[in-house]
Amino acid sequence: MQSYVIDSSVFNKLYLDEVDRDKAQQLFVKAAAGEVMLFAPDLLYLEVVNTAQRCDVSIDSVVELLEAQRYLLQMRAVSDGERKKALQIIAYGHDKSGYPSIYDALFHAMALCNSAVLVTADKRHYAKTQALGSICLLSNLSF
Amino acid sequence: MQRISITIDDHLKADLDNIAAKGERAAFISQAIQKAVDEWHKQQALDKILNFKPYKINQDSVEVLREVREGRIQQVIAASRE
Repeated sequence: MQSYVIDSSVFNKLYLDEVDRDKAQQLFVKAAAGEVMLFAPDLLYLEVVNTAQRCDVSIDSVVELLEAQRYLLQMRAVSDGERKKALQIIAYGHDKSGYPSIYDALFHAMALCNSAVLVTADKRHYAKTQALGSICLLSNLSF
Repeated sequence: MQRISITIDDHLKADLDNIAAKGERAAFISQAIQKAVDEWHKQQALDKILNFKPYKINQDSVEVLREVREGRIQQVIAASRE
């Protein structure tokens, strides 16, 4: 079964009226049908709440949405191996285009260490690290 | 462990007798109930997503998240200099 690591940028689409919201929903439809597995670092929870707060969105409704997803999206602490991989990823970049942040890298490392694919809505992170593999842009996702 | 009493159709009982021997029946039914409960929770979680009325915002959430991440990095750098 294909496993996907969900970036916070993808989860944010679930409560916002934005492009590719339907694609983010589709991932969870597939997970509910048992066709794919979804997981993410527990950092996702904090980042989603933080983003909602900055967007002046009701935190309570977003937290309720997050809490309900534990049956479809496994959120867990990052392992030592995944942390080490993330540290390798942040060195992977270019002085001009920039280097991936450690937060982006933690999600990507989780995918690389678990034969999964990171799904992100962040085109910049994708452009910086697509050569590492195990990454897919939400907008390019098709089932 | 809890003991429960349930009523099932005759044909289901016959099916069950064919599938699971007497000593294995409780474990078989327990697993089936666990699976059904898990599926119920998954469907509830999905319904929450599909029925959520999305918020309209004036910013791109990917940019906002990037600011959140960048802000945290700056906080860590600032704290390390104090």
